[in-house]
Amino acid sequence: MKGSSKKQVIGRAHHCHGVGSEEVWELEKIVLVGTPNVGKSVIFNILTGRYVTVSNYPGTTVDISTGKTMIEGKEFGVIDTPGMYSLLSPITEEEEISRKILLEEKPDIVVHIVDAKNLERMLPLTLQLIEAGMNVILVLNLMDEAQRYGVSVNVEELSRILGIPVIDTIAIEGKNIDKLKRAIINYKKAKSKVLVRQEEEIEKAINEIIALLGCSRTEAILALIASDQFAKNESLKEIVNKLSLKHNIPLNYLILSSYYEVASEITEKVVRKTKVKKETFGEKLSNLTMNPITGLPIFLLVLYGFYLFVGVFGAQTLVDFIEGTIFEEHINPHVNQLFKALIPWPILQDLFVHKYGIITLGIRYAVAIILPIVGTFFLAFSILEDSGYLPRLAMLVDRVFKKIGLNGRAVIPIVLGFGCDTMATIVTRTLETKRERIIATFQLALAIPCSAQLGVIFALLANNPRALALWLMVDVLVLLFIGWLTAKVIPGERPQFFMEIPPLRVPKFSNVLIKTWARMEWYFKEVLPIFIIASILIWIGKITGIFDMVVNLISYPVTWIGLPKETAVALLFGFFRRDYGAAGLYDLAQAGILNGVPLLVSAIVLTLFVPCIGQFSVMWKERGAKVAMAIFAFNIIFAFSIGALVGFLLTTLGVSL
Amino acid sequence: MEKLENSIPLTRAKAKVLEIIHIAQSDIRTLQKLMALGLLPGRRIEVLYRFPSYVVRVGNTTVALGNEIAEKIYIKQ
Repeated sequence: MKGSSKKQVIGRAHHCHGVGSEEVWELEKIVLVGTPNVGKSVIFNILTGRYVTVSNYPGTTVDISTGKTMIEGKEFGVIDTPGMYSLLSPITEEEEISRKILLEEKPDIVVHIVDAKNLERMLPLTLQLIEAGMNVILVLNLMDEAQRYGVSVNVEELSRILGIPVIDTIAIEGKNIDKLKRAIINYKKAKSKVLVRQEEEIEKAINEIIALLGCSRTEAILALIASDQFAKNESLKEIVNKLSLKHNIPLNYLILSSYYEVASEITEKVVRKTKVKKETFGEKLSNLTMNPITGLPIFLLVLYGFYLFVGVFGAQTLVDFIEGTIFEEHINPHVNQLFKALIPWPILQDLFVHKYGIITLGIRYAVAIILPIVGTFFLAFSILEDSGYLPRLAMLVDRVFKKIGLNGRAVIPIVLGFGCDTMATIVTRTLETKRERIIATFQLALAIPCSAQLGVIFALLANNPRALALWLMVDVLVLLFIGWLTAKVIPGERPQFFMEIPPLRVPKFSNVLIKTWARMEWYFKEVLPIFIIASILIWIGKITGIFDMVVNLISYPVTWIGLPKETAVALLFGFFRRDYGAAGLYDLAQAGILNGVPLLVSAIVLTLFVPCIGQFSVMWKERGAKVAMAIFAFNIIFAFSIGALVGFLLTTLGVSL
Repeated sequence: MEKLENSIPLTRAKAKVLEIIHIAQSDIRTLQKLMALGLLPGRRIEVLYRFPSYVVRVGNTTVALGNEIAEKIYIKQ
């Protein structure tokens, strides 16, 4: 199962590109590798410009971006790989994909991008790449930061020791990218002056394997480290077993350690540290974000800024303008008229226009409501991401997240969930254990409302602050209680949290824009078809009577918990898009059918109710049918139960809203 | 092993600058990732914060560690 999903990801990169990008894999290939947070995507963007294809989700580490670059009249395919630490012993699935690309795609040039100030812990991968016989170029990026840390590197000496081109860059300013391009086009390497030697016994085993299989040194080491994956041969297994028995430290740790030792030796020769001046403003601010006393207020401030931008500017100002002014005043009347003139049959007219039409409902919702909210959200998220604030947030919330079965790392998918739960569900891939992935997927489906849904719910309850507060309280309680419960119930290892905290950086505007644009593009490819399909399904459902049947079915539990029957329609819509449903409730509230306690109850039910069709399909794909169906069934029952409970409590206590 | 007798978990250490002696992490993947961040025996770390998470500096890298990770890092007493 695991193996096949990996293949799919690679397969997608190969076969499902847009028109014209297929050839990236046919051209001479430049593959970019490196750990996260070293500016790899910046260099990728500079090299490829706008000729980029992202296989699916354009997130920072999940999928593969490919593009083309032209250097001195020669065209190259450029492949950006997910962040990786080690060629020999990959840990995450993404790392495994990076290794696959490196080992199986036979790149012509491998550009290893490292953080210059952390050369010591990044060189081991360079050494592994060189050992594997690849044409490596080492890029020491973030030289400006290194300088600020008082780190200077003797580039020529490093290049001489490793036998490969070494280039120092400040990618974000485009500095020395021309040098990198020249190194690519005139690639030359010499024999490396260093050899990473293993302990004697391990060396013996490596040589035995080489003799046995006639393979390369790297392949022999791989056979030792991942014998279950690479060592099919019986006598080979014997060599590995014999060796493992002699050591109480795991073999791969032992083998990897030697690369670190050599890296330390090299660093000592080429890196000079000078005393640094006083703390910069950025460092002071960085400390404040992590300090237990100032960290929380700063977090709340960031959250408030986020809300102002997305919740107020995006969800109110922009939506009002696009929906109210552009669509209702200018587009809708015209298209209604146009279709009335074009198509004489009212049934067919309904497909395109009127209340549920493709244009007046589907496209209008997508463009007028979703676009501004999701757009502002992704913009704000990209800024946050590029500033380096997210890991600090992760570190602040880790303790709380552990109580609900997750760890600080999950802060990224959870925050993203407030933008789009579908995208966030895909990003749960970056979580380390299967257990965390399931819990996060579940929470996203249950208690994390997406930005579009939030926008409408805020609008719905805006003039009833008490109801809004109650809604928020119920949702947070559900999040904590269910999280605590699932953490108890779902078996598996307890999460461990550790994360690199990058320095705070001022995000580069163009980079933020590129990221936001890529995410929006993904979102639109994903969302627009669903909206259109939803409109068509509603249309078919209406003609055939299936729609009324399902509404009828849902209206039973709806009336049981004391809601007006019309709410059933909104809930059914909620499955097509969560915010669709919320918008439906909004219409009901405007019409005066829903208010007070029932309004609050329906908002709660809708929030907790089944995930939208897009999220459901992603859940199915990522977590499997069983998990997806279980979450689906649980959410329906749970949403109505909590709705009933809240309604019952409020009416019994005589609370009116 | 005798080295371990003179070491205590990071969670019990008071000093600011410490030397890692041993990492008692049974999960090899985590061990490897810590190594990739520069946390391995012999390296010196500087503790910046102990709450809500541990924040340490090793070389020019800043790393946040949950309590459950910090208590498995043994440092020279």
